[in-house]
Amino acid sequence: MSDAPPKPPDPFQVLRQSYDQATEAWAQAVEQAISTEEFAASAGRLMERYTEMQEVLRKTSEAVAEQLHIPTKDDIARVAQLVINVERKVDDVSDQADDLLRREDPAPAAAALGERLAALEERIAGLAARLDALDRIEASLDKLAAAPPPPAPSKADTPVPAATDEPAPAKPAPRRPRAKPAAETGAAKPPARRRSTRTPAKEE
Amino acid sequence: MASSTPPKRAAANGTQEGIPTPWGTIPGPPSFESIEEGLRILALGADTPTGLTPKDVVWTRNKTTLYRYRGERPPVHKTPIVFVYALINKPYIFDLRPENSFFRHLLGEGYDVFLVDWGTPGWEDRQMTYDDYVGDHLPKAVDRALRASGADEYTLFGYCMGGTMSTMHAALRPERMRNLITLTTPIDFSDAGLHGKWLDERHYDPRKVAQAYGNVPGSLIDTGNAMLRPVANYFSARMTMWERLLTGKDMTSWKAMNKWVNDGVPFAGAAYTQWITDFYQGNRLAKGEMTIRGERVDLSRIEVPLLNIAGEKDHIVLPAMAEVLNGLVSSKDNDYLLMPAGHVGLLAGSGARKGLWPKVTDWLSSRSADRGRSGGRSDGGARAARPS
Repeated sequence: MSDAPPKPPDPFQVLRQSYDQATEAWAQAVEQAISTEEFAASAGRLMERYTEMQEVLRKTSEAVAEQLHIPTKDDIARVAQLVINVERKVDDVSDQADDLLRREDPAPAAAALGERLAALEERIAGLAARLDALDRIEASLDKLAAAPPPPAPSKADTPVPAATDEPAPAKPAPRRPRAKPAAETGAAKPPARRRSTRTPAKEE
Repeated sequence: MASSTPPKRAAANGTQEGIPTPWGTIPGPPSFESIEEGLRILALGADTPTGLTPKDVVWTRNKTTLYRYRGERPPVHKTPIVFVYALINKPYIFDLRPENSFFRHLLGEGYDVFLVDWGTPGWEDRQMTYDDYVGDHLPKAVDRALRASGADEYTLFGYCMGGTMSTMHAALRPERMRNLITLTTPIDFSDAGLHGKWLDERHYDPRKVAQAYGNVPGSLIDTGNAMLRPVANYFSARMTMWERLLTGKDMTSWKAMNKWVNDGVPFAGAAYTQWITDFYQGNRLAKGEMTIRGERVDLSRIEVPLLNIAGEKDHIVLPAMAEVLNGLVSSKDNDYLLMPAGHVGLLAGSGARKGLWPKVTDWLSSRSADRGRSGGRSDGGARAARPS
């Protein structure tokens, strides 16, 4: 059994431990110091002096720039401000144009128009069907009118109509065939008879 | 660009024994590339591609851009989600890396995702206020998102200050809004933690800062946030970097997060002043005194389903600052979710995939179905969009 010499302490480990302990202690001490009213007041005064110095520097550099006829930050800022204003106006106009386009979007208007057209077509189809029916009725009536009248019954067979105040039903007049519209025939439409609104002068 | 994963080097003597370091035993001597990479990050900041999910620009106004994200399949849910981010930092935190992207998760679940990106204000925007952002840009962006999606309703999702802005919008323009989701959203500033102390009107006048800078630099805002945990943010973060580099761990996630943390955008001067005076110093929103373009923001007008999420470890927006919203709205369908995470980790940390993301999609799925109105992707929107 050999008596190995004790291992010397690792200087880095010692350093690390002391660093960890020290850091925590420093942090606490520093945080305590900076949270006092005195620190706040001192920092405020320091800041005030620093900003005064900054202002002096700024004013001096502005004066120098002016003397050398070099645009100052203020001059450039004025130009930048003009650009910003123009940009704002363009943005506003773009917004308004966008709103207008949205309001007058052709898609919904076209859809509504399509719906109305479909409804109209439906009604026109209905009307055409009715017209066809009317034509058929008219043709039937024409046939009836063209047919030879039935033989007249003998006098003895003729019943004596009862006395009544109602007029006898009128015999339907034979219907003339419907005239084709002028557009179909190519004939010029006769001028409509103008109704005179003038009161004729009394002949005295 | 250097590889994200530093090359592992075998021990010089060919054995499995490595070199002890404060971060444990590393396989071999640190590679020159690792050290070079660490020094480059310290000098120039971390850089790695972020925000890689394809998206289209739907609308722009000034610096504000509305994006629509493209999924691999068409949306299934008819109600689009409009995301609103804060006026500080950049919104690619929602889409940090392909393997860590909340947006990709939502697209995969069949949601139509829009993002309102406020952009980077220039000197000409220093007079912009919340009246412009919430009163003008946000309603327009929402309108454009609805037009592009062809939907009648939308879900609004606000993160941090974006949540405050979304809440104001929900109160002012409740029409067509289907759901409201707020993530780590400050509403009640009566006790805003350290920020509340530092920004107290006795010590701090935001008007002077805005006057001096015009737009308050992003680095100043980042410093203010980092100072809440100075040791963790300035010291431990760098130690973690060296640890990962020297032990050969993948650096991609760390670099993406570090890049985002330090990638702040300037805060428009007038909006900054309003943020500090009306919110931090005046607490006007919770008191019902906040006005946007002369119209009072009455949070009780919010009646849509609300999911309000806060982080237990959030030191930027304390849970109490967010929780109060559920009591101020009139929504009957009204949920508050407190999750064991911090302000950013909640959304983009390693636990987000199994934590926040499924919670949000579970909540949303039953509230995003078609309610018999028009829906689906509109060609008009797709025509208007252009690839970014």
